[in-house]
This record gives sequence, C-alpha cells and structure tokens, in this order.
Amino acid sequence: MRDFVLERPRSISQALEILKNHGEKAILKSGGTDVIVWLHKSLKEPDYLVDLTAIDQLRGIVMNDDNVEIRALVTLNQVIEDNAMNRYFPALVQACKAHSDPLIRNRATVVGNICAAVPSGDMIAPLMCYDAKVEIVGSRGIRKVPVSDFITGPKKTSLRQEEIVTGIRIAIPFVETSGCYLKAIRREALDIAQAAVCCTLHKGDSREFRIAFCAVSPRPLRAVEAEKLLNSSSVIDDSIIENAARLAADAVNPITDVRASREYRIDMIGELTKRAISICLRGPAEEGGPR
Amino acid sequence: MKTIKTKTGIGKWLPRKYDLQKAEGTLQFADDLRFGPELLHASVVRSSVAHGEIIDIDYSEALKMPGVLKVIVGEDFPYHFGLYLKDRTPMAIGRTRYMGEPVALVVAETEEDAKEAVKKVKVTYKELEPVFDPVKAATTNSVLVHPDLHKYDHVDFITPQPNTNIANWFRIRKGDTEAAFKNAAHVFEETITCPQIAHGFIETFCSICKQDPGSGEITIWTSAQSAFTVRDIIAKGINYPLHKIRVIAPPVGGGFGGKAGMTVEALCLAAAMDEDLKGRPVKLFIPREEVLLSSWVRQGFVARIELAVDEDGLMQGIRNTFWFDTGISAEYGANPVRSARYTSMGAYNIPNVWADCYAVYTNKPFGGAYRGFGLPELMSALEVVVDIVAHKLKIDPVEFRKKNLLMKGQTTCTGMPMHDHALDKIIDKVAKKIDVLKEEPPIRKGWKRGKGIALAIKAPAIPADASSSAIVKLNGDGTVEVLAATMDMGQGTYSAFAQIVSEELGIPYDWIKVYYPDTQSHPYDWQTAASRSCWSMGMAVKRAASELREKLLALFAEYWQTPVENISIEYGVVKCHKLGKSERIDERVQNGFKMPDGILKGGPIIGTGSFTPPDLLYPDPDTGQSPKSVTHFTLGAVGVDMEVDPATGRIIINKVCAGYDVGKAITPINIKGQIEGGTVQGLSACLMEGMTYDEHGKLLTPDFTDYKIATIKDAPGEIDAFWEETPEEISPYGNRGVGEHSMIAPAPATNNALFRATGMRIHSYPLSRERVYKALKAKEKGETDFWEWPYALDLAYERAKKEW
Repeated sequence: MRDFVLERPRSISQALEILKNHGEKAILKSGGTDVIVWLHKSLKEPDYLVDLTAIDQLRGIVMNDDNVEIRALVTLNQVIEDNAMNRYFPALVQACKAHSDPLIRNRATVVGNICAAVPSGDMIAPLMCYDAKVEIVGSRGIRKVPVSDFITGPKKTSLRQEEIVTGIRIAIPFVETSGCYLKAIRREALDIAQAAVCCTLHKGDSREFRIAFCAVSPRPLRAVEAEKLLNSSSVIDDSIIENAARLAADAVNPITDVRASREYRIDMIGELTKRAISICLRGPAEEGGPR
Repeated sequence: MKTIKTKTGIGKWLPRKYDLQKAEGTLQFADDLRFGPELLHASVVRSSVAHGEIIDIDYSEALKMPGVLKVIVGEDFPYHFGLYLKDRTPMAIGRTRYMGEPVALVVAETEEDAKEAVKKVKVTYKELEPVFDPVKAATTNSVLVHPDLHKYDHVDFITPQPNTNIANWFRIRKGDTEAAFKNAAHVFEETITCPQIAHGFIETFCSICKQDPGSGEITIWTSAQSAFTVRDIIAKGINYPLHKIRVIAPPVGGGFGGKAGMTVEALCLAAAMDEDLKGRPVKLFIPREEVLLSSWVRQGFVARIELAVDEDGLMQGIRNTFWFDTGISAEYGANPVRSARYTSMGAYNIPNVWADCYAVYTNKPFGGAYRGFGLPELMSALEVVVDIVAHKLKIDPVEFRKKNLLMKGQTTCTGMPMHDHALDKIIDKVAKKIDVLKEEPPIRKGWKRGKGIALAIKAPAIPADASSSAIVKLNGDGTVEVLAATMDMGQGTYSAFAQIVSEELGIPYDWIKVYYPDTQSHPYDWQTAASRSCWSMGMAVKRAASELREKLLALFAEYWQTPVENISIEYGVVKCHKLGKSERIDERVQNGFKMPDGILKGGPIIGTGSFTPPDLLYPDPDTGQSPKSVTHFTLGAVGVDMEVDPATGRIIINKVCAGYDVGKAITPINIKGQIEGGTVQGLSACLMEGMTYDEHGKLLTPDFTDYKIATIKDAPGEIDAFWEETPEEISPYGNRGVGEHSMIAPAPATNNALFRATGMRIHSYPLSRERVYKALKAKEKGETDFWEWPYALDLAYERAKKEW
C-alpha cells in the first residue's frame, strides 16, 4: 500500500473543500470494505484518503413524511435492525442480510455499495425496485439522480470528481407491501452473487410488481417485460409466473467468469424470479425462503 | 511397574493447551515477532507467464526507489532444494515454469518500499508452450517442464523418469491381475477427477532469516510445521553444517500439510545470506493473494480404476492408473503418490492388484502435502467406483463393502498382512445411525434426499526411519517442561503430550508445559505430518516421562530407605503409604537429596526418549511388495444424509456420521475436534473447492474472494463422531493417528448420496452448485454419468494405454 494523507473532515462542506483542493488525487471512504482492499491490492493509489466517518450530517436513517433517507454512513446492519426499513422495504433488508457476513455488514454501507457500482452489488436491485434517488452534493449544489442513471457501467458512476453522495432517498409505500431478494451463491454465506433477483409487490389500488437483477448486466436492470405481464394479469397462476420468469431470463445479459457461466446465471435468473414472485404473493411475512 | 495416580491422564476430556492464549490474542505468531529497526523486508517479483525463458530482468528503476537496498535474482542463489527430490529453486533460473513463480526478490527498509519497488522490475520473457493437464503432460511429453530431471538428486524410494514429465512412478504388481480380469464375471472401468485445492490456513507464510556475518550461523524464524525438516532441507540445499542452522517455529496458524516441509524459507534466506545484506534480519511475509503461488497445494488427480468382481460379488482384481498433477515441483508431492500407492486396494481384500501411480509435472503451482496425503483424492474416486459396482451388481452398498473388507491377516496391495481393526463394526454403526439403506422423504419441499456411505483408510507415508525424540524436565516446584519438536497447529498435540506425561508421572496436567519447537533446544523430530505425532512422538514422550519417573522414584527410595515399589506419585505428590510419608516435589529435584548418610545425591532430573519405527521395509521398486511397507492403517467409515435442490444444484448436508478405529483416544476432545474439522474440510473440498486457471495458466482463484471454503453455515446440521479402540501393537497406548483420516471419506460419501438422491453420478469434483445443476440437466436428457474435465477423455484413455 502506498503512503497517503488521511483526511477526516467534520462536515460535508469541509469534505467538499478537500475534494476541490486535491481533485483526482483524493478518494472517498465510508465503511472502507471496498476501499481498503483496493488500496491493499494497489488498485487505487490516492495521495489523499478522505474518510467521511466523522461527518455527523451523513449519519442515520431519517424518516420524513413521505420518504426515507438512508444517509451515506448507514451500515447494512443498521438497515437490518431498523423497524421502518423492515416494514416498508423488506427486499432491501433481505439484500443486506444476503450481503457478506455480520462483521463486514457492521462496516459496509448501503451508499458505498452503490458507489462501488460493481454489477454484483447487492443493494442495486432492491434500490431499483424501490425507485431510489441518489442524493449528491457538489460545489454547484445538490442534485438527485435515480439509481438507474447513477450507475453507468461496471465500476462506473455519474458521480463527478468534486461530488459526494450524501444519501439515498426512497418514497414510502403507503400500501401493503412485500418483497424479497434471492441470491445464487457458491456456498451458504459470504459470497458475491452469481446472480440475484429482487422482487417487490405493492398491493394498493392496483397491484404492482417490480423486478430487478444483480450480477447479470453491466448496468442496473429492471425486468420490464416480466413486470408488464404480471401487472396486466388479473390472476397470477403458475403459467403466468413461468412466463414472467422466462421474460426475466430473456432480459439479462450476463458474462461467464470464474464464479459462474452465462448459462447458469440465466437459468438461475429464471428460477429465482419464479420463486421471488411466489414469495411476494404469499405475503409480507415471508422471510426469503430458499436462496 | 508404574505407581502413579492422576485425574488428568490419557483418555480424559480437558481444556486444550494454548487455547486461552489464542482466545486472548496473546500468542505470538511469526509475523508478531519484532526485530527492531535492523529488520529488512523482502517482496517477490513473480512471473507473468506460465512457461518462458527469462531473457532479461531489468531492476535498475527498482533500485532507484526509496528504501531499496538490493534486488536478488535466481542466479544469485543457485541452489536446488527438496525433501525427496531436489527439483526446486527459490527463484526461477533462466526459465520460469508457472505464472506466479518468483523471478526476483526486492529487499528494502520497509515492506511498503519493497512492494512499491517490485512494480518497477521489468522482466522480459520468451514464451514457451505450457502444459497444464497431467494426463497430457504424462502421455505426450510434447512439453518438458523439467528437461534437467535426470540431473536432480533424489532419495532412493523416488523414481523420476528422465526426459518425461513423470517425477515419480510407483508400481504395484501383486498376484496375476491379467488372469483375474480374464476370469472375472464382471469387469468395470471408471474415471474420476479432482482439481488442485488449497489448504486455506488463516496464517499466511512468514519467515525471518538472519546470518551472523562472523560465525556464519543462520537463524530462521518461520511459520513451519516441521522445524527440523526445514533445517535439513536448507542444509542439504546450500551444503551447510546442521549445527550452524537454527530453526525457530513460533505457533502456526493452521497448516493442514501446507507448511509440512520447506515453504518460503530458502527464498528469504537468499536475501539474508546476500553479501551486501548479511547480518541484518530479513523478513518475507507472503500476503494472502500470493499464498497459493508460494507453496504447494493439494495435487490435482485423475484416476482410472478397473475392478474385476466374481459371481459371488467378491473383488478379485483391481487395475489402477493414478495421475497426480504435481505442478512444477514434486519435491514433496512425490510422496502422496507413494501414500496412495500403498493403499491402492482401498479398505478391501483384493488378491490381485496392478497399480501405476504417477506424479506429473505441469506448468502450474506445485502440489504437495495436504491433510490426507493422497488418500482423499484416491478414496474420492475408489469409494465412488465401489458404489457404482455395488449398484450395478444390485448388491446393497453396505453389504458389498463388508463382504470385501480387508480383515486381519489378509494382505494389502503391498503384500503386508492387515492388523486387527473394528471397521466392520464401525460400518454397521454408521449404517444404523443414518439408516443408510432407508429412503426418506426430503425435509425441504421440491428437493431430493439421499444417503451414502464411504470408507476411509490411511497409513503414515513416512520414510522407514522417520524418528522422534523428546526431553522431559522436572522443575524445582514439581512442574514439568516438555521439549518435543512437534508443531501444535491446532490439532492439539501439546494437550496429548501433557496428558501422556501426566499419565506417566502422576503430575497434574496444568503443571505441565509443552514448548513450541526450536532446533537449538529441542531434540530431533522428523516432521509434524502423516498423523504420526501422538504415535511416534507420543512414544518418545512416554519413554522420556517414564525415564524421569524411574529416576525420581529411585531417589525417593533411597531417601526414604524403602524399596522403590512402595513409592507412588499421586496428583503431583510423592507418597509412601507404608511409611505414611507424603512430600511435595521441591528443589531437591534440582540440587539433589540429602540422603540418610549425609551425602547429596541426584541433581537435575531429566528424562529422554526416542523412537524409530522398528520394522519398516521399503517395497521392491518393481512390484511394490514388502512384508511391512507401513507401520499401521487407521480405518473408518462415513455416512452422509444430504439433499439437493435440483433447480439450483444447491446441496445441504443434513447429517454426517463418522467413525474411526483410533486404537486409543488419548485426548478425546482433540479426536472429536479432528473428526468434526476433517469432516467439514472434506465436505468443503467435495462441494466447492478447486483451483481454476485461465487458458494461459493464470490462477483465477488466488484469494478467498473466489477460492471458496466452507463457512460454519455450510457445516452439516449434525456431525455424529465416534471411535472404536482396537489397540495398535507398536504404539504408546495402542493409539493410531486420526488427524488426516477424517478428511478422506466425506466427499465420496456425499457423492454416493447424491447418486441415491438423483440417479446421477458425477465423476469430477467439486460437486459445485453449478456442476450439480448441469449434471441434473444432463440427467433429464437421459445421461447417467457426468464429467467435466478439460482434457478430452477419449484422448486420455487412448494415450494413457501407451507406454511413454
């Protein structure tokens, strides 16, 4: 690991100032579960490491009238333990539980997972389903970007050099809701997804399914065709589910690598989509089911 | 006769030695040792090609980096090292043989300086064609990994074949196999493959070497299982006197065979002995990403097994060809090949055996010792083949195994008579405990459930003269120090030795301390390997403690003027019930007893003991026959109850039942721990482990991001561990090793259970989720067997039958 200067700003404005002064020589760190590994492997060699963990403004899950803010320093374990998150966003909670192990989840942040922007990031699919907006602050002010636009490719985001992600905002669904996150992995825990499916169901005036994927496309992806089929069908029976799963599998474009082949990933998307839909239909109490 | 009383002798359940220090984090591993500002750090420049001539190494830019003192290349330290076959240089000389092989060593004032400078070293290669598949390497010889094989020194019992890639060829020719196959009612032929796998120990490699510029004496602090073997290999490698090399082995954070011989010590020594650097200690710490490239891994394995069975279902002949993929070095890896060969009949009575076992060089990281030493691979194949045969003959798998079992007096494949054991009883217990023949509905909806059984057998694959020795010292307060150069790397041998000493001396376990090895203070031990420590070193410790006891009792006999038979040591106190005397052990055991005649007698009381296997005979090289090829076998059986989700390939192990004949359980807590740990490690190898390379030979699984080992959540719901105690004749208490054996049978038992669940036979390990899924898809198309092996099978079959 090359030497660097550790900066610990106390406020967002201080952090922005540091970024402005050092430009490309600085990188941001919150939980550090990715950044420290990059430094160790010399994948990043910054002159300045800007540690955001002393900024109180970036802490906490904040409930507002019609939305919730997950601020930049919120760890996966904090999401898992939060009652409102469990009530309104069960798929996100499950994705947090499917991520790594309890120790890493104590450090890893939801925002960090989005900013790393690897296709296998577990937070991406649930935030796609929940239509989350990424809140970004820079010298030119605040901007809000949908997750789907924030991640522009593998390890690429629309975050600019002198900007910081302060949090993620999700609208609260004031209807009965269920959701799940199913992940194909190589062992029972602590693995990067071979493929994963997130499914949410809002049961308001009209029933609305949303489905998104993990690790099977370079950019975040919703299963538009599958959702259309489900949301236009008055009764959802096994054949509709089968067809939706097939549409889902048709929508993805995964790679073959050491973790899984393209073919296995596609098949798992079909299978997990089928299971995820059924779990959502069975109701909010359902805990994940078989991964 | 020994007259002692203790509550902490052999067979007792006690807290393990050093567990507290490990839990508190105070035990110092090699990387924790401090050497002050004198310490230099080395970092490795590694080959970026799998096979190539080194045209140029340009390190001029590296030397300009801050803190850099020196860059050393292979030619600077041109020594060959190896335990059984000297085919290894610490750095590539002239030619690099695998991607990741050290080609240069940067030495700097700090670890960071060294690492930064490594990036500046430019190496130019002329690429050569590599060979990655062991069968291709052995049968085509189109690429020679070691063209100089004929020049390498080796021990007598290794048989390298010059001008080939065969580093070792072992044969068994017992009986008339040809006739057995000709006359057999049924003949079967199967092929099974295992990939290279990694040990996955938590502590990575770390060595610190220092040479005294005046005396030339070398001190090595290193993460090693076998301090004396490190000393021997280095002394022979650089042709140096033994007494000028001291090896200190601090506690090891997991070994599993991966630290059994010499690992990175010579590489570190290349810097410490450099003319410009010597006198300063040099540290070489290997980060996780480089561990699999720095020492051996479990060898890849390809087995072709033919079995001849008569009309009564009795095995009459077996023909085996085993290719072990030993990567670029067989210095240690030549020996698991021998280990497998000794046992090529499995646990069965087969009168006619023909076996060829090869250690084959390929352009991959090198293979060597790994828990089980050739047997997990062999039995992962053989026990599946036996299951296939039983199924095809419509005999139940338990009955087929039992009727062919190798019982006392029947001969192994080397012609050695089998000793007494309780494997038949163990098989019955395992079969009953998991109700192996009963089909039960799956616990999980939509899943398929199956049960399987497999047997385990293994002997220590030690050289015939592998010895142990120990010193037991009595302190002036009645406490005891034991110097036994076994490494306790978690298996718990120090607890066993303390219990042995307590058993022999009547001194409580808590008063007994066993020290980590230092070749300067400890007497010789060959290695901590082969599940031999409680047996071989156990013998030495027992003898040393007995000698000490006899010396102590003799002194008290004279002191109290009573026959020695009247004296006992009870719970640390010396007693004579007849005279009503009872005294603590005190400083008299250091400076002598004032005898009734006024004369001081005695002085420091030390017991010594040593042990060498008394009756081993190396087998005949042409036939593999020997009346005593190995000291003993430990046998066992494993039953697995599992289920599989056909839609994803995910396997969950409901229950494992595992029993072994350990002869005598000295430390039951360790035996239970070893059985449980080995079971999980065996399941891990079965279900997920395998080193994967791209087409250029680049390792795709260098660290734990993609090299997966079982987590606690992958462990079975229940492990029912048990043991039988049929005493071993030549053994301290009748005990036999069990540390490695628990890893042997979980994989084939799981594979056999998968067949019961699905009707599909998978011939390639691991049974990863994706592979199981694919196999079950193939099943839907009518397939019954599934292979995934990059080198085309038919080609392998054809070529394998030719002489090279």
